[in-house]
Amino acid sequence: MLKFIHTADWQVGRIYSQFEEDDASALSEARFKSVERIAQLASQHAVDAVLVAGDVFDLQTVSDKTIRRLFLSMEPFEGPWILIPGNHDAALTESVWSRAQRLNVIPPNVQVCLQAQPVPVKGKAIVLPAPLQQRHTYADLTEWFVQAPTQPGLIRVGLAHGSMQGVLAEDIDSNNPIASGRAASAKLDYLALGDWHGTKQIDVRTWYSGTPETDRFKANESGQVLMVSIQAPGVEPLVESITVGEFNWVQLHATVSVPSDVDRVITQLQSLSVSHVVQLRIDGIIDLAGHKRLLMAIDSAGARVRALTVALDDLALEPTDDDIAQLKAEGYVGEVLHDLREQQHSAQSETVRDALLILAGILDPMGNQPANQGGRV
Amino acid sequence: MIISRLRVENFKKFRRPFEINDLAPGINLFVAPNESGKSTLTEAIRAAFFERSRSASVDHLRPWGDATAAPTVELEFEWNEVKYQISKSFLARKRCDLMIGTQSLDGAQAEDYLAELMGFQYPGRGSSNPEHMGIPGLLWIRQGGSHELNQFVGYAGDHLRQALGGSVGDLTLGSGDQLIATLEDERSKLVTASNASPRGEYQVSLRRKAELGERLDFLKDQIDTYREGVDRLGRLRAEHAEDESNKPWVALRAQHDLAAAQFRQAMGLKDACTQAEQQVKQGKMQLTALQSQVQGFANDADQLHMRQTRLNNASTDLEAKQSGLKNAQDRLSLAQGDFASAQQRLTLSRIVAQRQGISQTLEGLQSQLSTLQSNLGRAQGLQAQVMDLNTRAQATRVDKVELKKLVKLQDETTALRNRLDAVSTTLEFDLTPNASVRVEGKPVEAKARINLIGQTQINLGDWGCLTVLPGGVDLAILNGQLLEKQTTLSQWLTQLRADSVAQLQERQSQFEALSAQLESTKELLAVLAPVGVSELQTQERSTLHQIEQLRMQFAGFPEIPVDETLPLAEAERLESNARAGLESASEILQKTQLEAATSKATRDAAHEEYAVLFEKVSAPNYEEIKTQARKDLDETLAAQVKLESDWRELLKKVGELNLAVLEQDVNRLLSSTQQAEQNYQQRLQQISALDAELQTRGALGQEEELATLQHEFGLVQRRATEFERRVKALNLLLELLRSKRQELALKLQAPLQKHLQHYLAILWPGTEVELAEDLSIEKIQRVSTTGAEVGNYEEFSIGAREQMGVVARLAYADLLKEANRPTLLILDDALVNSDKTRLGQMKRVLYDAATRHQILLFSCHPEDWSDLGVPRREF
Repeated sequence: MLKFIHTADWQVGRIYSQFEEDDASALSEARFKSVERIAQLASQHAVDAVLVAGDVFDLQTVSDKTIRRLFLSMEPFEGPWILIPGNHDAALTESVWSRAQRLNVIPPNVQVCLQAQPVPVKGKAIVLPAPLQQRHTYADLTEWFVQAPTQPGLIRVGLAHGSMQGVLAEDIDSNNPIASGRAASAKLDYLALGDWHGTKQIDVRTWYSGTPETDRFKANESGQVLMVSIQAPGVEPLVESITVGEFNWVQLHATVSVPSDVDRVITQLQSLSVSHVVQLRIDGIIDLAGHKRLLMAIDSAGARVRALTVALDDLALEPTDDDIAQLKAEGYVGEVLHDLREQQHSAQSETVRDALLILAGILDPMGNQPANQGGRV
Repeated sequence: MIISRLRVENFKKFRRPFEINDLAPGINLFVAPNESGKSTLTEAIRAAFFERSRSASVDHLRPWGDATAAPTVELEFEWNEVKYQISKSFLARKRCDLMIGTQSLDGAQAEDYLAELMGFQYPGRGSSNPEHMGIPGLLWIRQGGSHELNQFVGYAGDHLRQALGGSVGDLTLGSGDQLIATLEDERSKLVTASNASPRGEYQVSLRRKAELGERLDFLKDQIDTYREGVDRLGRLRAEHAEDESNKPWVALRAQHDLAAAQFRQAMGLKDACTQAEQQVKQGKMQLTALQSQVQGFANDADQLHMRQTRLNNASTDLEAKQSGLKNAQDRLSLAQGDFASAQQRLTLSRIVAQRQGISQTLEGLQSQLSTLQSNLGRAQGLQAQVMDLNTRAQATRVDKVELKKLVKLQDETTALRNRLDAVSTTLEFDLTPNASVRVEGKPVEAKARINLIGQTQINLGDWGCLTVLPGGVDLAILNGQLLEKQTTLSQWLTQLRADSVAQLQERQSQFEALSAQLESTKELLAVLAPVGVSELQTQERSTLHQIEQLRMQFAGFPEIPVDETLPLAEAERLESNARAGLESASEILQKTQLEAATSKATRDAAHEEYAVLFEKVSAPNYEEIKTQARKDLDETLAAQVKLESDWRELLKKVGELNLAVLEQDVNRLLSSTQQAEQNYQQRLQQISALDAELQTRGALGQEEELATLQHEFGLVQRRATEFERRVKALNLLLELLRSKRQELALKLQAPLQKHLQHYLAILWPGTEVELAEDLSIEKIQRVSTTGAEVGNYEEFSIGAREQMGVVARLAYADLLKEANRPTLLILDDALVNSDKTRLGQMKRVLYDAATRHQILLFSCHPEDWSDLGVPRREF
């Protein structure tokens, strides 16, 4: 029986530009940690190999430190590791891989397939790699799997990075195509694919493992690796997904119009934990009191979760009469407040809303501190 | 409000109680001269309101010199149909009572009530100052203070606004201003107030953004370069691998070798062709030679005969020429003999002629010499004479002028002596011979005559002594003069080595005689030796030398008997003839010699020609050679035909070749081969250089840096945008608040404007006033005869300002009345700077205002106010 872990798209060295600096660096750090966890998992399950289907590095010219750290993270598993380059780290004539070789940091238990040559695994299987040697190819690099001979009794495993034709039409360009039904046409027992960041089964023998650490809000089913067991050549593989990701990327979108809607959003925010990376978008209409409560809840959530981005651009501010009364704005200040409320829906609504919040902040000594709210309005 | 009664006691000028109890609504005119207490009355009213009765700082209210007095003021007024009575005393008896209708208050409570009612404050301590006096401070004009306005409006500001608040709605100017200040403060943290350029954190974020943008551009550029480099390296390596396996230069080299061989072959052909052409040319020349050789044999016999004849003729000619030559040689010998003897004769004749010449010359020279010698002897005698004469003449020479002076001196001496003789005493002695008489110690001769000039002692020997004293006054003087002249004369003569003047005259005549003799002798000498005696001597020596020379020459010639020689002319003619004969013979010989030589050469040549041909013809194998030559010619002709045909064939082949193209092929293929190898080498170098460069660049981690900086850029950009939004929002807020505030201010000013315009229409029609926020007057725009005039209140003349000051106060009073506040106007000498016309207008204004307010008007100019239509109070 052959047992191995299928993973891909580690994207080491990725920078998360949408977040604040400390959050972004924590998320970058998490990618090393996920590799460490994969190594530990592999060690625990005593797998025959770990197959990494490309995009190990996010960039070609990462720092030396990043290269060294990656290979250190892989240490807990004694191997073998079988890696192929993807489009992000293609085996160009000069690449992150040639640098790693020069730095002499690739341990012997890590097999980086820079050429399309079969790799035997413990006399049980043969891995057919399809490394990317250019950033983009328009040819199917798995073509050669069909002709590649295998000794009888060995399990045939394909390892490739690209888009399976006809399956992932949406959102995937036609670069690095892989013919659909490649597992069948090349008589593979399993085809381990990378490039798609969510875990996805294509057919009985063909899987995208997805990235082990989620890196975008839209990647469903990410943060996992696949534990693959194959009894014998020709037998259908047993595939189990195992969560290794640390962070749960959540998109929250709410439309508010009455105070109870605000309550609902606040409850949602309160349920978030440190493992969450959150994108919050709220639109609709809110009064000053509600806005104040909402901001407090957002601040509180921001302190709790790993990372938070907030978009309130489409949230209109409608101060109620109570709000106005609360602010005790008299005389012409009151008129200004009134004017601003009227102008909420004008062309410069954003500026008007900001102005309203600033005014409210100054007039209401218990209210928003305008100087600190720049990032949240 | 209307004050009806005022009473003071122990108050400054009014020690005694003083009371006015018939004050009327409208204008109350108080007229009095200075120092009569007008101002004390206004001060009493002020004290009744502004000073606390407990105040310790009101000593100035006390009458002069009374330290124990308690100044007292009592005041009754009515407002809103309620009667108010104030009774206030200070210092010695501090007390304040206020009756409001039937309600009574006292002390501080009463005072605070008044302050609230009238709109003023009390000072914390000390006496009340203008800034505490609020509305009354504005409406009650102190003496001469009517032109100062805005300061008092300022002091009344809060009370005014408070008082007027009701009439213009709920005003919160104060809190709005605070808000504006806060917002401006917030704004100034982000942008400069002056030109709204970013500062502080906003500026920092913008700067950082720009820095990052630059760095990002740089990095993107670098990464692009890196990626291009990687692609290029990939291509180069692929090309290298292809070259490695294909080795294109091998095939190219083979092609080159083939082309080179072809080229060499073609070149060989071309050389062969050139060679063949050369052979054809040589063959032609050989053929020509052979042909002429064969032709030569045919002419041999004729030639031999002709040469024989030519030889014979030449020999005959030579003989003739040689005989002529012999003759010529003989003639030359004869001519040579003739010439030699003629020359010898000529030589002898010349010697004889020369000897004769010298002998004649010698004779002439001898005669010259003797003349010269005789002249020389005479000249030498004359020269000696000249020298002697000269010496003697010099010895006798006397200066003529000097002599003249001497003669004159002598004459003067003689004249003096004569005069002396005439006047002096003369003693005539006729003594016996033995008589021994001495005059002044000198013995006197027997017969003597002595002139006495001075006292003279005459010793008479044994008879004693006589002393003669000559008379005459001038005697001594004359004697002195005489002695002086005599001394001068005698000294002079001594100098000239003469005893007397006569001697000198004698000498003078001698000198003249000698001089004449000298001159004639010199003339004689000049004739004999015009350039001197020494020249004559030189001539003598020279002549002697010539003679000696000639004698030696003469001795050198041999002595030849004259009869043996021909005359010189004859000898010369003979010699010339002989010379001509010699030259002619010599010429003939040369000519004959040349002819003989030429003839001999001709004969030799003819002989040679003949001999050669004869030898040839008489050779034993002559016929054999002739046949051989014919045969050679035939053979050569045949060979030539073959050579020419070969050559033409080659020429045709060469014409078919394109040598230039073949050569180009060789070069092209050679350079292609080299190029291929060079490409290979260069590519290897490029690969190595590029590889090294990319390794270096790759190690910089620039993509990771780019991503990191892009992240920071995003954050900074977001931050900058937030600041920008905040600035926008603050700007919007400030703009709104300011415009609302402005609107409100205008609204607040409107009623005041209305009242001002009411009065200005009377005083200065067409005048407009701009009010400040505190309701003070900011700008005045006035139409006068000189045109429109705009300026700040303070910029107008004091007269205009005091009129404006009064008018404004009346307007404030109207405003306050409308707001149901008590008003009272006090004008203390308020319009002293106004001219008659203006004052007239002001009276109309005041009269109008008096229908609404009580006005207390104090003046020290009764005549100014006589037409105010109210009674005047004098005191």
